[in-house]
Amino acid sequence: MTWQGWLQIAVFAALITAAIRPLGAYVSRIVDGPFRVPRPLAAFERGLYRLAGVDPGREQSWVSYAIAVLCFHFVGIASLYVLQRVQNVLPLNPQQFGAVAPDLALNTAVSFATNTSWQSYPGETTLSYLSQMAGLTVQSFLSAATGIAVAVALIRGFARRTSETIGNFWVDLTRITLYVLLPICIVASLFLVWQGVPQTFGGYVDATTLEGAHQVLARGPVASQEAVKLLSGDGGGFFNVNSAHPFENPGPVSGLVEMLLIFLLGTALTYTFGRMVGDQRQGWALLAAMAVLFFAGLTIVYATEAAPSPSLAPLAIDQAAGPAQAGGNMEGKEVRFGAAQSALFATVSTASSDGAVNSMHDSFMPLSGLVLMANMMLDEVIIGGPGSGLFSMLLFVIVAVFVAGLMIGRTPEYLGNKLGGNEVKMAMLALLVVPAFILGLPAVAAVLPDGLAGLGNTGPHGFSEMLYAYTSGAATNGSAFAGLSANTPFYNLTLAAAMFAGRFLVIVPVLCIAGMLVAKGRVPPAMGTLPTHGPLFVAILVGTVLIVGGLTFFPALALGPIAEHFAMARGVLYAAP
Amino acid sequence: MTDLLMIAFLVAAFAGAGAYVWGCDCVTNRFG
Repeated sequence: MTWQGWLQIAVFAALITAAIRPLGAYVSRIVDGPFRVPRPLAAFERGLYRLAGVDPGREQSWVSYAIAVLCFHFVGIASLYVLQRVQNVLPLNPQQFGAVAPDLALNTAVSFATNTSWQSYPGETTLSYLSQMAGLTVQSFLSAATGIAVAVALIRGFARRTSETIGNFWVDLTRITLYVLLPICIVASLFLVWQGVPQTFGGYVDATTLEGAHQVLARGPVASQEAVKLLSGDGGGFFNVNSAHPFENPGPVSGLVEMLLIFLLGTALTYTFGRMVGDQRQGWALLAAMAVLFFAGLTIVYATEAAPSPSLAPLAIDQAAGPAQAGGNMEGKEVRFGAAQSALFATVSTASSDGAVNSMHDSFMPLSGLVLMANMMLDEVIIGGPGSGLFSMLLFVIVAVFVAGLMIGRTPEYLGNKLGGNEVKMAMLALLVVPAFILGLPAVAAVLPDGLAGLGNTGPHGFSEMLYAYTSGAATNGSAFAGLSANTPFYNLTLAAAMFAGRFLVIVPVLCIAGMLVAKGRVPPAMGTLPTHGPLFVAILVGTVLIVGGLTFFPALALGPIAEHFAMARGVLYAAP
Repeated sequence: MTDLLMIAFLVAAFAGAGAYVWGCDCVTNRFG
């Protein structure tokens, strides 16, 4: 590890911390008022409601809210599926790509509508500009807005008293998209264009390299997709290699801004939470728990990747840091980013549910791979995606308060809400859906020829490839370990099922909890009330996340990255399949 | 034909999610 590497991490942490308060307060005003919308925008917003037949003054029960979420995304997935299937006869297809195969089209449609953006295809050789812009980019906006809307609905559950409604999904969706996501993305897109990211409808460019070879340079409307790809926690890149491609992420400065965009809304929403429940310390406590888990993981990944690869040691390759190279395990990493920014980007991306990559996680050391998988397995609570990170962490809060209540013999309370059996049941249901798919589907894939056919490696690393893919899908992260050939009907359909379950089967119980809480009255704090804003509660919360979330996956991790780590230490290598 | 299968997959998934909403409501309202 170098001081320059730690300086990059410190600058990143300082910048993201500085943005939390203003952005969190702004989001709070957008969803909870007061916020004076500029007159033309207000008219536009009213026009949208009129067009859709929505009464913005009418709030919904949790069931209506959940049905609205499901109906909206059914239409979104179906239309994105159709768009890909007929892209060959639609405009903005200068490379004349054919229709996307049915199973891949379904996988991609579910992937982007669920804020996962798992990509079984290389974008630059599969999708037209229209599919990328009007399909994927639109779903990136809408899926992120849905995540934030659901989190806001849950916050209202904690904050409101004896009410029957948790807000209006259509209003939340519209306001978050118009006033939060779009303005930030416009600024971020322009910044990326300034950094060298293309934004054009011109076709691909035929170039002659310095050696005289012929090369086709793919380009397109990249910057507009790139900005929302990062801000939305979506992560689906225009190009196959995502943010490792110089047209998506030209250099270290754009890399820093891309990481900030990934964390921006996830961190700010903790401030929004504190503001909406009327106790800012509660938001800081959640952020502190997230930060503890994040920096613990980051330290392991950076230390592991900055160290030389033991497998290359017998070959006498110079892997030390120096003026001419960043040093460390540089397989699968861009020289312009080095070990430090690659480790930081990978940790940010897997902790946040974004899934963008600037290096190939398949080439990370086994211990780093373990941390990246664990970040996702912990239900994306370490910052997480916009909204989804916050509501997942609040699920763990409910479990932590319940466990603490059992220990001290009191009915669990959080923010003046007495948490009954039904709230805990729904929290556990939401927390168990994701592990069921993360553990169940690799078990199926590991014994079926169709599952084994896609592996790029044998031994524990091959198992890690499968485990990572389903983890990424069910946790709605979308990053790829690489190495796995996932564009097959088996993987496309099973991953689509994992992404669907990991998103919607979690959102429904979250909204159900919001609906139950919102109807309750507040209980004043008493002598035995557990304070939930101090270091003790942060420690209980971190412990709950690690024990409830982490131990579930230990056996599977032992078969993959842990076994690979010890095999590597003994010099055991596995043959290609 | 394959398109119909994919649409059926999607419809079944959302129908299941709708039933899941109903199930959560039943569990929390009737047995709470």
